[in-house]
Amino acid sequence: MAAHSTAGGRNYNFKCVLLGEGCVGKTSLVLRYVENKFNEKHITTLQASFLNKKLNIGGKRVNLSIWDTAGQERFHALGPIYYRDSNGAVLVYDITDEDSFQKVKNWVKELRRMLGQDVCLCIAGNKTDLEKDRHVTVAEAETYAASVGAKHFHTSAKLSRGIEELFLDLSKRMIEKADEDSATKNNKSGANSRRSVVVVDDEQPTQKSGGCC
Amino acid sequence: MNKYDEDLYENNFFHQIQNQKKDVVNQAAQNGWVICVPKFSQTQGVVIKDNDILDHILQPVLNKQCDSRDNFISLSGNEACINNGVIKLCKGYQQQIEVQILFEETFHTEEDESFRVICIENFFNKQDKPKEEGATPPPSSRRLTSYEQCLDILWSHSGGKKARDNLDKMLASFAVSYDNLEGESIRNIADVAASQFTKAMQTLLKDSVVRRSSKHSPEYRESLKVAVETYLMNSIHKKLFRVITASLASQDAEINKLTRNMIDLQLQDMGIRKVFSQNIPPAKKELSKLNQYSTPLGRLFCIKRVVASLTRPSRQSSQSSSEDSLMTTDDFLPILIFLIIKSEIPNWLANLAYMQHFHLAKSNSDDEFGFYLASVEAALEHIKSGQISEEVITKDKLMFERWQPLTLAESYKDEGIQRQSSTNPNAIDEFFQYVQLGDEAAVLKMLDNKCTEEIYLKLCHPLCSCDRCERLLAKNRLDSSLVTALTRDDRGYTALHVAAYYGQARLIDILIKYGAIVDATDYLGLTPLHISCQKGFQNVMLLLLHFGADVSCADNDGNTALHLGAANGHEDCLKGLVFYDNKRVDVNMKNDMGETPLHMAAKWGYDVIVKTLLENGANATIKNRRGQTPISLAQNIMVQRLMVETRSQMIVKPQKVAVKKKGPKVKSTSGLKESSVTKGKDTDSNYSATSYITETLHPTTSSMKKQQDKLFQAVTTGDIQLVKFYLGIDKNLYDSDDEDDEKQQLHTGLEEKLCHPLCNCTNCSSLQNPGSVNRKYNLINCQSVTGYTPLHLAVMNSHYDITQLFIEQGAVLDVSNHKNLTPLHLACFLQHKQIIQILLEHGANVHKTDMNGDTPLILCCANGFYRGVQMLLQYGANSNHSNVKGNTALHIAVEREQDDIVQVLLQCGANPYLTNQYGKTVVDLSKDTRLFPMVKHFCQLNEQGLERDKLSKEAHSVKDVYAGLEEKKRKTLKEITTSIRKFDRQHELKKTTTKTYGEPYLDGDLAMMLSIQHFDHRSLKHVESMDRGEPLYIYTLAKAAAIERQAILNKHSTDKHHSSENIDGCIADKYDPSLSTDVSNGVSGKVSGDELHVLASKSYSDQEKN
Repeated sequence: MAAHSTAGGRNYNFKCVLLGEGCVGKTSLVLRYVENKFNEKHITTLQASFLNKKLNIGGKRVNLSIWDTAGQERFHALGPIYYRDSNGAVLVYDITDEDSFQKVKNWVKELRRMLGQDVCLCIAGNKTDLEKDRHVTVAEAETYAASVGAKHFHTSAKLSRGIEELFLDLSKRMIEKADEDSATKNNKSGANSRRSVVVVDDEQPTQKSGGCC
Repeated sequence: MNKYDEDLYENNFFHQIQNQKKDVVNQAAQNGWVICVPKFSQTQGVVIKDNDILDHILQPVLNKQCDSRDNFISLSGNEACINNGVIKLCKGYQQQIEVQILFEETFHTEEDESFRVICIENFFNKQDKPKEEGATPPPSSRRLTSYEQCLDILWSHSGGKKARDNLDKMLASFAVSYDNLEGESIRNIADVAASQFTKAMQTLLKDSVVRRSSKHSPEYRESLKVAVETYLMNSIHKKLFRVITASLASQDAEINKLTRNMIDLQLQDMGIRKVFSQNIPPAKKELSKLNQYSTPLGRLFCIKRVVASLTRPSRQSSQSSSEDSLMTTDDFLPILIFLIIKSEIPNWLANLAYMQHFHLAKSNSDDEFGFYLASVEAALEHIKSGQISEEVITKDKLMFERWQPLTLAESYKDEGIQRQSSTNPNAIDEFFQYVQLGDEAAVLKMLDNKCTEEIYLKLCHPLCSCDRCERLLAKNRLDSSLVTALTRDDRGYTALHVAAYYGQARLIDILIKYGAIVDATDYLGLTPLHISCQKGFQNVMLLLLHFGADVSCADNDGNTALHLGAANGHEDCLKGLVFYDNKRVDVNMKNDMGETPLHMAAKWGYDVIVKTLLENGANATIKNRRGQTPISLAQNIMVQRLMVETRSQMIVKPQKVAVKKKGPKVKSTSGLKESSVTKGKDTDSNYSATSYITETLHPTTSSMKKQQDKLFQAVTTGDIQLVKFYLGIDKNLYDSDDEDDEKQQLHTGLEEKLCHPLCNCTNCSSLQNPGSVNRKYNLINCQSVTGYTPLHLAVMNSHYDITQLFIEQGAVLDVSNHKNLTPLHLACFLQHKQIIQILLEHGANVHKTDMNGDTPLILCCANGFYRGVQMLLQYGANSNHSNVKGNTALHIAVEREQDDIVQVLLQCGANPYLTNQYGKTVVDLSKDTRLFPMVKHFCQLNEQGLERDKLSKEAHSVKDVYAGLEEKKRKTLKEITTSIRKFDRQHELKKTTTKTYGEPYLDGDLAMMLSIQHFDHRSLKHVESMDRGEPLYIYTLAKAAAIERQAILNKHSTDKHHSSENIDGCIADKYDPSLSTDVSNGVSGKVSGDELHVLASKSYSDQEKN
């Protein structure tokens, strides 16, 4: 991946993992975000477990790799394989399903235990289009999110609500975190850690696009 | 992958929009417009006008009738739509073409509003003017796809040849060092490879041309890295990958065993949706090529292709079901697990490590690979956790429970109500479910076929033929709930198959009792034995073997039970099969693919199985149909080496190997076999052989030496408590008075508790507790420098109790010390009657000679130990054995003037005419002594019946000898005969004890083999197996019944009003109710006519033979 740098422009490469019980709409959420599609007949790629999204936030280029995880309970133990080295996590629950919110709490606990404060968390209460069946109260969810240092969003993949905001906020926080890290490490962060920022070389920007011998 | 990327801020076109059309950008953010930007190279040197910009900003059009596409209208009023990665230009544009989308970026403004920017291949409104430039894209900007391209990029420039030479030289020197890496951790190997890679890059970058162009073009640098990796890995991967495989071999074998045993897993078991099922075969095909790729990158692309073929939209799903065909991780992971299980790749972990740690030219675009790798890792982890089989089992159980209440309710229904077989579960299914769950009681109940008897109770009279009775009988005949041990299900499984499949060992016995056929085959030609080996239920397998299952039976693919056991990595089953009967099992049996069990074990890397097979004569050089030997199939280097070694041994000195490997086993088994019948010389060779083995197998360490010294000390002082402590024997168990009984009880108790001597289920292994046993037996049979065992010492110090203890604890009785003295020699020398008695009772060898060639008998004679001589002769001591000086026991006795001994010896057939070294016979020697008359007299007596004596000297029983004794000895005689009787009985009792005590200090394999062969077959009830489905069987039964009927007819010849049918019923009622059902239905229920069975089975087997 080529990266022509501009003055002050930086490239970020973030890994973001989607966690949550099955059927809470993790995949719909990410598909709506990346492909702007919901339950449509024309999905260009059927594979929806790994998706890329490029963002440009105030001149900062962010490449977001979104990893979907298996929601089945039997695969719970495999979580660490997916979420290790991730910069952010989106924890999705279904507002009509109290259990799925409990599951989110478990995930948060596990993530904090395994990754500490390095990971930015977002909690998404999905399916707000089914507000009338709501079983998880807004207050409860928001206080919980605040208590664990996560942001809470009300989303609806069906109505495309709150999703872009969620990922934008997450990206901003991940940028912040990355900037902080690189500042404290005094740019020492090598290429060994995925968490580190990919600092583009300081070569003079040559406009020649790789003319070959 | 291979995605174009650029920083749009540098793009002229975008720059212009941003600078000149700020209002447009703001509008775009507010209204969700899409800005299309031609790629960087296209915008260079182009004057961009306002209407160009307007052409490239698209507004979405909502609610158009063709909603299948994303329709847009540009600010200039032209129509376009975005679909499937291209922008299609429609009405309004000069050229209605499709323009490739390169990438899409979402811009967020400071007000948190966003707009999409799409980077496109060309301008919408301009001719291919810039095509000249883009027509020949520099090779560096493309992702490399082939090895040739890599070579091209590496060496095509000037000075490439020199660089190549340097690199090759470096690689050559390095390849050697990879051999040393074996056994290192993956991490270390990866580090070494990485440093190698860095060096290679350095070598390349020495070239100024390369350096310059790599500086200027990051794409070129990336490509260069990939090229170097490809070149590097291509040249070293064979060695490198082998090292990786070796270091992960055991874990891979573990996974292989798990996957092999899940091979009959179905898609539904994993919860995989039907939609994806048709994409699985092509994905599987793709995955099978994984090991053909040499570089990590190649393998990664292979995985990517697998995923691509999985997600390929299916033809059918384009219609209604499409909304479900979206593959999320929820679907992807189970499918991946399924693929891995079904793949024939035996080294998954090694592959994973190879891809994870040896893909050195990492670039940012590898995120997707990272995800796939994580998925593969997660899948393997899930397989390893063993959850899958649990899930399947619980699913089965759930299914059963779901319909069980229904059947229960059913059974309460009135008999008269007709069953609706279409809605109700089949009785056969129910029966098989019970077998699967191991519900003995339920199975027995169903087999017992109670209803038949009940029906007979309901009839007006057993012989009645009124309408009602007829109906009842007819219903019973048609009743589907009738099951037998021969019932088969839709796979052709009998109940025995199912029991073997689910490891219900206890049901095997019951089913065979009810006439199940041991070697019944299902549709695939699998016998229950096959299934038990496939599933790894050793107890079931051994039971089946004892019931006479055919070991060499092959299924439809030519696989024997041994093949299946080897393929699925069930060591215990395999050992059971091999040891059960060496002669009957052919370890080199080939299946239809020409593969031996060794092929399979080698392929999947089961080292223990490979070892077992090799030790039992498996040939590692047999080729399968593809021309592969087990050696070439083995991925695991350890296994490969094992086989190569065995082969070379066989070639260099075949005899020696045969002796080494086969010798002790065969010899000692035959020895012990005979020893249970007669205690001949074989026992001797057996014991010496095994003691030799124990000595060599367990070299004494210094700590053991200390322990030994302590033990010897304790024995010398006669402190039995201390001795027990050192041997690790629980005092409480042996301090009671009836030590012997208790000990025996304990021992037999242990045997009873064990499922089988070979069994190592969790229950048994804790009982056997090999650790402590080994320690004990090692210590008890240890030898000092002068060759004394603790037993020697105990005997020497005349400690009867300790001697007894040692013997009970399984001490070897016939160990010789440096003077070739056995404990028996010492006991005879010390004239300790009790000790001699106990030694002899436990099978001490009376024929052993010391360094002077003296047997214990000669020693006793020399000491004038009359009682000892008696005992030894009683235990079969040879009275004519001569020592190195040629003196027999008789010579010595005569010399010492032991008249009573001389008498006994002569009566026991000692030959007075044997000459010693000096050519003197006993007669000559006795001339000078007062014994001469006696000898003379005996000789005369003997001369008369010499011929007879000569012929049957050995056969003389002690009792016969004593019968001819004089009056004055009668009193002693009586005493001795009674004692003989007593001893004989005890002897019989102890014989088994000796046998079992003797076993544990045999070499492990030997002991196992012995115990299998000596496993009490009587404890397994033998049941004649026969095929009751055979027409002949019914025929015999019918014939027998006809005879009976004839007899009754004769009896009732006057009662003409009985119809023949009623008579039938009468017979049945009178003799055996179920017999008649047998005859009439042609299926068996409970049958008690044993003789009939024997008859039937005999005729059946005769039929078979013919």
